[in-house]
Amino acid sequence: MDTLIKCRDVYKSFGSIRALAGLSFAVGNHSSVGLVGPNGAGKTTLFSIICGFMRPDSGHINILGHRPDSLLLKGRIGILPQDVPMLQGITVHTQLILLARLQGFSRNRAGREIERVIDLSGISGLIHQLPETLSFGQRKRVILAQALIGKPEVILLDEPTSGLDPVAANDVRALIQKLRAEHTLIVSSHNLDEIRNVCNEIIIIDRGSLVRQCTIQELVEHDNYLTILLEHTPEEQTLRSLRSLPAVTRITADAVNPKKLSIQFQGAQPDQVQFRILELLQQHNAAVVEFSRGSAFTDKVVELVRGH
Amino acid sequence: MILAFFDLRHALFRLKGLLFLLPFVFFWYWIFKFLYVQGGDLLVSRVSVQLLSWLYKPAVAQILLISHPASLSVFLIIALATTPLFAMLGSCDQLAGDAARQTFRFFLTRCTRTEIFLGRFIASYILVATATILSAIAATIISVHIDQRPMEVTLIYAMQVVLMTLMYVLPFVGYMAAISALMSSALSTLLMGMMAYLALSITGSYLGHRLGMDVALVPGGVKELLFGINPHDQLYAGIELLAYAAVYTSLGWFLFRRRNI
Repeated sequence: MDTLIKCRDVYKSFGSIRALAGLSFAVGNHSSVGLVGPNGAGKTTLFSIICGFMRPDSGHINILGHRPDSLLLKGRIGILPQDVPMLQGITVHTQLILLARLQGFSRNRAGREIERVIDLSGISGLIHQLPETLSFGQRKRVILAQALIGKPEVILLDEPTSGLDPVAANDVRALIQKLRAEHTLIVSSHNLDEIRNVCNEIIIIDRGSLVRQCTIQELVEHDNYLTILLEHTPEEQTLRSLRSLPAVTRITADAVNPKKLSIQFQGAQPDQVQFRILELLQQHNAAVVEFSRGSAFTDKVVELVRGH
Repeated sequence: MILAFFDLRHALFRLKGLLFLLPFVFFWYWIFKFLYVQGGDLLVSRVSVQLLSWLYKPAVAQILLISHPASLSVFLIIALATTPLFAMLGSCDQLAGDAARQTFRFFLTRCTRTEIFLGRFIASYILVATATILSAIAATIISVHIDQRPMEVTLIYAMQVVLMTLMYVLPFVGYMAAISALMSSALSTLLMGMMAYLALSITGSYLGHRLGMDVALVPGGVKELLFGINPHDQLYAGIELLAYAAVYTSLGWFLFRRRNI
């Protein structure tokens, strides 16, 4: 796997606030990586440093073999920044043309390239409008379109679907899925289902340092794990009965939603254990609302961040 | 250059362009109206020469009002006196607003900070310079009508006047680039630019008084050399203005390169 982005011991502080504290990781070619962490973990700062918007206090960053401020990187990274306004009083089309021209396209080729990204991101109805007249969701799609100009090798998406209505969010997710084939993507999002669906790798950071980097697959234990949502909070007697099952090794109730149980078990025949657990719940009149095999990805990420 | 031309094209329709152009046009309209109606003999009178001698050396006043076409000289004096204000108005939003709003993030993945800095600097300079050239053309037309000097003399002096004013504008645009690289809005850049200019002028005078020598931290002191008793002084003034421009612009570039965007 060729390394496209490599960060080593990156530190960045804003006054007394330390945004990045010795962050190190590497991202390979044609990966789609989810960048996850609580608010203030340093995700946006990391994106800003990768794109050369700010300099790290110390540490090394290498993108496509170059430093973030290298001239040789220009046009090879696209970014959908979070909540950044476009120039006011200038139509979307004019601004996209400007950005394409800055990227080195001639006047004619810029026009054709803009047509391509407009089609790809479905913003043809918006291009003759001023950015300040667009809704938040429309603006986001326009800004996503600018990130695609020139088919950059690496695309960074900072909260690509936050603030979007469900339909628009789905459109954006579908577009991200399409982009995976041709680009290396790094997607920062609080929506872990989105990360799970879109990415094949995850980087979890907290307080500016790496908590874990692994494949999504590694985080999800498929065989010996059940996640069950009950209609009511289970009684203590129900939990005791479940714990008494010989195969069950651990039962955890969700801290926020006590109706949600994570059950870990062992044994060579998981289907039988699963059947036995459901049978026991029925005996205790504990109605099951949702049931899934494997640990919930979200739970695992939360557990990792909390344990950091 | 793409960014510079884009900025220039849109300067007329954006607040930052209008903030400069409207006061500039109204001011010069008023001055030219006064010159056209009240100028002529009044400008070359002994009283006018005496009045100007209070501001500059008598020899300089004599050259400006008697040796050269007087209305063009009046234009030059007023243009140089108002350049700090108009150059500040015309170039106060080079970097500050878009850096603070983070709009430059769309540019920075496509071009370097140096290109953005130079693009904005060139656009601001061309905007102020174009307005200055147009006002100088208007002053030349008035001079042809009221100064009764040979056309050739008026045109040659007009070109000198244009060159002097354009040279004088340059350090002020550079100065505002430096202030703009630090601030977070056009308005705060303008206010800080004015206050810092005043502070630098006072500090320069104070230091000059204490040290018993000329200490010029702002280019205001170059004006009298520009008016030109001899070509050597004008050349010296030109070099000094370029030095000011280089120092201010380099400082702005240094600050902008390190700024978080």
